[in-house]
Amino acid sequence: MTKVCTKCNETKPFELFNKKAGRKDGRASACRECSTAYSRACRANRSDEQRAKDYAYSGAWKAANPDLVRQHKRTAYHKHRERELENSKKWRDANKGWIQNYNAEYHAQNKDQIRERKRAWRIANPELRNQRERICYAANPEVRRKASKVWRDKNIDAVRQQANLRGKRYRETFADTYVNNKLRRGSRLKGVKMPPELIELKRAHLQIKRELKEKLA
Amino acid sequence: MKNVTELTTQLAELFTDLKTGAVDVKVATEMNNTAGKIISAQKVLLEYAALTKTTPKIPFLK
Repeated sequence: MTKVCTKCNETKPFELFNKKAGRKDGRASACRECSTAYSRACRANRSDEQRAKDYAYSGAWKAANPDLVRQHKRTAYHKHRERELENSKKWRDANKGWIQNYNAEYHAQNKDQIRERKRAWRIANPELRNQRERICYAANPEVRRKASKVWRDKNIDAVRQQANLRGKRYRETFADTYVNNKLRRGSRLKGVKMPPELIELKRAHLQIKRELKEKLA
Repeated sequence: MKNVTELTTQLAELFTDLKTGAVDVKVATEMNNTAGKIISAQKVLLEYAALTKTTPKIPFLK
């Protein structure tokens, strides 16, 4: 089924005409392309007064229907995701300075909130956090080493506490570090790589020693 | 018991026996002390090799 457009006078398929309930055939007289062009031209040529009125109306509607606005935006985003991403990137590239200023201002205003949020995330995702830390360290070893030294100098007590906890963990699990230290104690084997078999032997020896100590206590 | 692996296995068995009570505490103490002496002897050999800057050739550790 076809219809002639009253604007461009072209014969087009019926589906290329917008729906219009008041019309006899249920479709608009101008084709979709012409209707869009006409609307665009009208919007571009409207007076400042009309423009302000339109914005006010649109703003009021948006304020009255926040859920609908959100839904429309979400639908439109998913429908044209690639285009949206591209536009977003373009905007970011064009407004780098503005974004930096905005971020700095936001961080300055919400310092405590951000810190708390980050801390909560770190506690909730320890493995992911360690993984990210490792990647970051591999990318900037010098910078990270310097930052780490500055932090250690500032937080000596926390560093000692961490070291004590680590030492305790090593002792409890007979970790290689602990066994190695026990092996090297009282000898001049600094910098010498200990054979893994000897470490294993020492570990078994220490385990029995501890068990005996517990039994005799 | 001819090498380090065998001694480690024996110590592991001793540890299990000690846990289950299959071996006397005094016997276990003596055996463990002996193992300690062997470890010290290997350490001396390693130290000697380190001081003379030679590659350690210790049959027990092979």
